Amino acid sequence: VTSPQPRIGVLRFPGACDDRDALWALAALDAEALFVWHTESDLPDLDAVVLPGGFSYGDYLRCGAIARFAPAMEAVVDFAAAGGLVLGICNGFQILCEAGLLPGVLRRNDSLSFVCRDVPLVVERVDTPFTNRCDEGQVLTIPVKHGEGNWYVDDDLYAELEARRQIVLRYREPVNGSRNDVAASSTSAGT
Amino acid sequence: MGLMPHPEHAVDPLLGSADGALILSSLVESARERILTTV
Repeated sequence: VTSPQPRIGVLRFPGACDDRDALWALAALDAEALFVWHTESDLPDLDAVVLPGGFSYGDYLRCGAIARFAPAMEAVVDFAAAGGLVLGICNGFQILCEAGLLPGVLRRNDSLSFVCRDVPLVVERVDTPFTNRCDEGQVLTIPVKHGEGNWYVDDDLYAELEARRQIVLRYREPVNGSRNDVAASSTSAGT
Repeated sequence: MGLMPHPEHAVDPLLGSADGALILSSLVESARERILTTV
C-alpha cells in the first residue's frame, strides 16, 4: 500500500534564508514540498503551508510587518480560516503574529543580543497536528537563532491562552525574555 | 502554530539533534491523515 504524499508549500519571501532547509527537511520526511513565491495571490492545491525563517523584505520596519501584506499571505489567511495547517518558523512565527493569525508580538530579545544556540524545549501539548508524535513533557533540543524572539502578550490575553491551551512549547529556561518562556503557540483550534 | 526554534535545522543526528523531525513529521503525518480521511 502506498500512502499519499502530502503537498506542503513553503512560502518564499525575499530575504528568506531557511526556505531550502525547510523544503529539504519536509521532503526527507516524505512530503511533496514545493516553493510558493510571495507574489502568488493563489496557493496551489496544498495540504499544509510552512512559513520559513529568515529576514523577509529585510525585516525593515519590524519583523514580519511587511511580509504580512504579501499577496501570498492573503491566500494563507484564507487557507488558515478554512482550517488548513500552517506552521510558522522564526520569521514565519513573526509574520503569523503580525498577520493576526496567532496571538502576541515578538519583541527584541531582553538581552538586546542575537541568540544562536541549541535550547531545551518542553512539550506542553501533544494533541496538536504539530506535536502529536511527541510525548507530553518531553524535552526537545532544537536550535534558536534570532534577535527578536521575545514573545509578549498582556496578562488578560495570557490567561485566555492558557485556558484555551494555546501554549504548545516552552523554553526549559529563559532564552529571550519571552512571556512565561513560551516558545510556540497555536491558534485556538490547535492549528 | 508558530515557534521561534528551528526544527528544520534539527532533523538528523549529524546536525546535532534530530528532535526537530518530531515537529515536522507530526505536521507531515497530520497532513497525510487529512488526505486519507477526505479520500
